[in-house]
Amino acid sequence: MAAAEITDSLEADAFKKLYPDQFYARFIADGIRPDGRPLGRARTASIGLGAVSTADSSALVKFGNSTALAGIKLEIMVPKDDTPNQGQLSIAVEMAPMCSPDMRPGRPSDAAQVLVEQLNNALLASAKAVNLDDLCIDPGKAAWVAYLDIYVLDSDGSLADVTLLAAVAALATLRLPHVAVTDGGNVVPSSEAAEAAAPDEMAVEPTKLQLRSVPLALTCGLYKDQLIVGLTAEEEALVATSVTTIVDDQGRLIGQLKAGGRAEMDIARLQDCIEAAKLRYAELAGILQQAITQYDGSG
Amino acid sequence: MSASHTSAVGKVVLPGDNLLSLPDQGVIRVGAGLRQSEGYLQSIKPGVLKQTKSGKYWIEGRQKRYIPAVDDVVVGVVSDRQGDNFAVDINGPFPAALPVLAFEGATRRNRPNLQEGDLVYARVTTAYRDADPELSCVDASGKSAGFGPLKDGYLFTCTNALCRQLLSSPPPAVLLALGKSLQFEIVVGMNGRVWVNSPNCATTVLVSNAVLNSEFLSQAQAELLVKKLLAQVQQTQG
Amino acid sequence: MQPTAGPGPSSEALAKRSDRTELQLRVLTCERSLLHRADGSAKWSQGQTSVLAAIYGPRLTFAKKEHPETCVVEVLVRPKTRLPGPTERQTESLIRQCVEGVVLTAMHPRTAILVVIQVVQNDGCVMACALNAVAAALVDAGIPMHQNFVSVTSALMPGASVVIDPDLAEEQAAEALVCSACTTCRSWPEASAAQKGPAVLAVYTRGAMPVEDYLTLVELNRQGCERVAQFSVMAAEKSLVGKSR
Repeated sequence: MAAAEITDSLEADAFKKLYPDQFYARFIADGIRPDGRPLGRARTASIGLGAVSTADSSALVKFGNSTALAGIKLEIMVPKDDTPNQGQLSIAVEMAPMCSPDMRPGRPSDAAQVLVEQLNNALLASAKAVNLDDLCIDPGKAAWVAYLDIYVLDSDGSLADVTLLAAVAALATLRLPHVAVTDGGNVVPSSEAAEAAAPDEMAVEPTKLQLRSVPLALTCGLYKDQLIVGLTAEEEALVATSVTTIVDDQGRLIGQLKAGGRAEMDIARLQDCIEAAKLRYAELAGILQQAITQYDGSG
Repeated sequence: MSASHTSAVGKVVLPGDNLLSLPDQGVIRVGAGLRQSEGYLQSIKPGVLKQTKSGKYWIEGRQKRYIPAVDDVVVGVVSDRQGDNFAVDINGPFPAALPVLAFEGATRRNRPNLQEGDLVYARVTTAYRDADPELSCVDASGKSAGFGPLKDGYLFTCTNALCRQLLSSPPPAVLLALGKSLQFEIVVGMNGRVWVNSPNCATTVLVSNAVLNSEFLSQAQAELLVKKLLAQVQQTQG
Repeated sequence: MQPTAGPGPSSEALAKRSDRTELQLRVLTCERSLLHRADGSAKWSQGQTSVLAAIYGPRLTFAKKEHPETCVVEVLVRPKTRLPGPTERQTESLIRQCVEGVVLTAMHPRTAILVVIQVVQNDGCVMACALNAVAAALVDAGIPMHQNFVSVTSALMPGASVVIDPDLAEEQAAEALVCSACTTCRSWPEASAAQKGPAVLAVYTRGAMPVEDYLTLVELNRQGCERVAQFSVMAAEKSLVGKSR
């Protein structure tokens, strides 16, 4: 009996290795995927906030095996001349060599650069999630620059979704310390300035960064005319084309990216992707809110 | 059973054009640049759809890069010697292999001495899409039949459409017109390479110019072109 | 959607288009075979925007990069000024996947096709212009494809009006932009049953918009692509049947 079981699992593994497409097709024909999910269900998300104690805010997000860690460090800068009221949000993505066999240390890979562009597009250009005026301390003299760094620790598909959720979670829990600008042009924590003025004044709490919009993404793929939601890395290699749809809390479409691929879609299909993204949004927003409430509660 | 005719013959077709809806039964002979897709005859290359007398459809296109096919004649440039083969650049996706012994009268003791940069006129013996093509400077019976190294002369490149025109029979008007007044040797390779040789440089230049510019000209226009070029040369000489 | 006079005057500072209607494309021009050493090249212009694309291949590539069963496509995008950055990588990734989708890569295994794109002039719609230039260059190079594609951009302006093929000023003032590439299928009468409208090959958006407006823009792009495809066919015919040198 045991010998027969070993043979069966070896055969299944060999079949998967040699004929990945037929292996996958057999599952899809039954309306299910190799990891047991139905075609329309994305992987459950788990969010861990404040994972990095040295960062001003951080978030570790996992969708199944796909893992991204976002961290924000705040620094003071002098605002640019043409935007004296604005700070800066600088996004960087690094795909750690451990995340996938294709990644080696050194120059940022093309995939990482594409993710940076997608995040810049989603957070700043399109959704305007962060109002850069909020990062201003003293117009023309001092402003915050938030360095948002995202490390992809495990690459198992849907990287656009994971990195965007990690970025949003880190931004949502970011607290801007209260500071004051001294006469000498230095920026000091507000409590010190306050002590110098009136020693018995109470310490002021840091302010939370207000997100004007909360965009979240969902990547779907088309496999033999079936829409597959929430792709793993293996599925991304097998689908004919994939579409990343980003919606926000106000029901707006922040972005849809279908980057070519072997299959075309008609408008009805694109609409299906938007509907799937909205359903996923409701699910993820709930998880995010719960995580934030818990984090705030624990101080 | 002959298939239904398509009105696209003689017209320019682009990749993805559906030309003919294929009947359930029957035979349609199909050549380069066409394929069957979902019950339709579809073009995969841009060009003019032509039909031979026997009813075979094919697409005549203009392309600079050469895709090797068996039994084509090509003019290649030797780039290296690797063991028993010469590596020859034939303007295709891969460099071609020309065995050292594939020359008339070549033996292990008596090898042809080809250096980097030498030209050879050869025919393609194998051409698989995954692998390097192989050439030979002898025909099937072992005779050279005109193949072999080309000495002196001038090599220029053109599209494969022009090469097909030059190799068609009857010969094109431009070559006939040139041949009436000038003495020269010309070797045309299907891979977009043409070699011209003549006793003096002026003739070589004139022939090359005339051939390159004759791609889209009609017969009368080609003869006119040759006449003009000859008149120009005589003017400068006389 | 028929070209109309457009909605009433908006309160925004942006003046209505002086030289064309909201639903009218700019003048399209396409020059092929410009570059002597490239296997295929094309310069595509839409109004003042102009992009040059060159194709080299199929040709040898490093053993590390080659694929045993298909041809590998590499894309390089060079902007008009400054060094290439994440925006160019995104454009490269989009164009690469479009080209991989239409080219019959199985016909040339172990080879590579290199696509180089240089933005010559930027007056809006650079992504669409680049995609069109690449499609024209692929036809010039005679690379086997199973579909041809064209591309067009449309914008959602403040005041909920839509314009197609915006220039740079309109792009910067727009609330949202949608660039799509569509494959077009031309059928001769003997295969008329195969006629189907353009299908969306690629979509790239910028800016936030309500879902209904987005779908309107996508449909507008589909119709725009039909017009651009007609021009593209005409230009290809001219270059294949001959112009005097």
